[in-house]
Amino acid sequence: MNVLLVEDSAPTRDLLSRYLGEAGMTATFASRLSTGLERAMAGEFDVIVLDLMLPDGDGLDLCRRLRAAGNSTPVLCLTARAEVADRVEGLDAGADDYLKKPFALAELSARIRALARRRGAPPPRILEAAGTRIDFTARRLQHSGTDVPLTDREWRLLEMLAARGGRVVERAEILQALWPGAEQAGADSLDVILGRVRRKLRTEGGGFGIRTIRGAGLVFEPSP
Amino acid sequence: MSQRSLAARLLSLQLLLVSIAIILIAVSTVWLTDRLLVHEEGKALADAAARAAAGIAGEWNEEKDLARAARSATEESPLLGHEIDVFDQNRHLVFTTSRRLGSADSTRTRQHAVRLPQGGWVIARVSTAPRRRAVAALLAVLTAVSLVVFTLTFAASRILARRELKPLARLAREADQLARDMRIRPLRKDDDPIEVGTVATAFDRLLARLDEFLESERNFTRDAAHELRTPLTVISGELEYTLADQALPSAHRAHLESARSQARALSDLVDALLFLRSAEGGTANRERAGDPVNLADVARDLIPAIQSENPSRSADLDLHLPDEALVAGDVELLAAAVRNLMENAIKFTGDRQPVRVTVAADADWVRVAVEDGGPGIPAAEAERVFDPFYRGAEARATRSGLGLGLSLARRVARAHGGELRLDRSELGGALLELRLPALRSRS
Repeated sequence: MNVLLVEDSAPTRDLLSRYLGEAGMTATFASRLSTGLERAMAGEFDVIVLDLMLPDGDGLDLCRRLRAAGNSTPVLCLTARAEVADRVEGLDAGADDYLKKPFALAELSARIRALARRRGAPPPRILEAAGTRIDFTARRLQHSGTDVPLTDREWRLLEMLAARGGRVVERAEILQALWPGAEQAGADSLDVILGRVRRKLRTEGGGFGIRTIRGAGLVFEPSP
Repeated sequence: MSQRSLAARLLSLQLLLVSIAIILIAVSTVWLTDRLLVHEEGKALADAAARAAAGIAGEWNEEKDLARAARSATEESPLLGHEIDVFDQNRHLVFTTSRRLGSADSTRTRQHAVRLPQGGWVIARVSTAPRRRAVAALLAVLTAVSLVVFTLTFAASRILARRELKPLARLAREADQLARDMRIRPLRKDDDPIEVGTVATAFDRLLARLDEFLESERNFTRDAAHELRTPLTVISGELEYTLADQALPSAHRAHLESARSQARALSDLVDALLFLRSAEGGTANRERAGDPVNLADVARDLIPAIQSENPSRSADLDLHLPDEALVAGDVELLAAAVRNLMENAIKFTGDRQPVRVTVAADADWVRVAVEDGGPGIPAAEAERVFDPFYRGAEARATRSGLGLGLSLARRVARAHGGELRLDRSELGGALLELRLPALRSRS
């Protein structure tokens, strides 16, 4: 797997090159926005990991120019600030995911893998069926106009499943992404959260459902 | 009234001045008119007396009888409202034109006496009523005119004051709006009166300074976040990387685990300081505190790490967690605050002393209570545990913790519209209760 890492901090580059290398990825580096854009346009990468604060500009500019040039390589932003407004701005600029510093290395590699897998099929932004409306950008779930609050982890589970709607997502993959470094402990929590997300989706009432495939994983699909 | 309006004061002042002017003019007019009338009245009276005396004196020379002389003389010439009394040398009234003899009321009449050359007196009398009526009429007219002038002045001043003070009201309204949304824009308008313009310009200068300050505040928060979190990423990442090495000697592993836990505490601290700085500086993004957070999940997620760091205490943990307890806020900060309460309770209790964590939600509040069966917090320290960076005597001596601190935990609670309080637990030790407003679903 080819990863382009645009990051100006040398110690971070050094750490990530070792870690991603051992995780079986080939990392290419750029320390400035200009060289990052050059390499991104020139090479074939599965995922671009982008620090948003670069010495010669805002990382989101790179993202915008990349998208303007028709390049759809998934972009994972590394940022020191990941507030809702920042996240919406990033998604508008064409970024695919966010990771706030400091992050766990296991979470970074899990997210990179998740992005590489869904490459080519951008995640849905808004889904609607039977009075249920899911807006993934604004993170709003509504039943006939009434908001139902979901926590960050519930959204991430829903996003993961919806991004591969109709196809099975393995439990191990979900645990790795949602509880990086604590997959054992996460196994029980996943069932609790899954139950809650199903309840909030009102799967019995139609709209959308999450089906458990024994021994395989979970599938997000419109309810039968 | 300590808060009288400027418009009301100006209005009162104007009305006072107008009243004084009206009263001065009225009083002087009435006084002068009265003086003039008194003077004319006196002259006419003296004339009448002199003419009557001359006529009577002439008739008396022919008649020799004073009373008859007086009658014929007064019948010849008109009296013009004057009454004539004639007295002889012995001061006896011998003739009067007055129908009511001796009815003369000296306070309502004026009189003028002329001595006849042959002896005796002629006294002319006139009623002062016509003069007083004239003055009274003048007074009435002046009063009516004054009332009209006063009313017109009042209305005109009010309208004028309102219109002239309108830019001031606009200025106040816009400044108020600005205080709410903090979007700095100029308050000065080209058509402002000079005085209001001066105030608006001064405001604009103040706002420009404030904007610079807020901008540097925002930059500081952004730069500090970047400058602090990038090295933290490397520190915690290198520790994670090294700890993943299966060949690591176990003695080193324990030390590196400790370093990783401190790096995590430092990261929480950076989050809390930056969050509180922006929350308390008023530069917080209003959307920020809006993410739904399930405090029951937060507590559940903290358990494995706490158990693995304190393996001997697993059995002492007593959890009462509902499925869901939603609040709106920053999940990392709230988790740091809850972890702080739990770690504190573990730290200050010994083996086989219980630590109970209860999360409970009702319609308005979500409560996270962490209580223990330890020694409790001495009354002398109870007030000070919330002081910034305060650690109890025992904590200073034996622990190296950099934890979030109860002071920051309380400020996190308050920044989320809640509170953190200390009480005594029924288990015998301390009870720390974090209370936050429950999230209601919007429709």
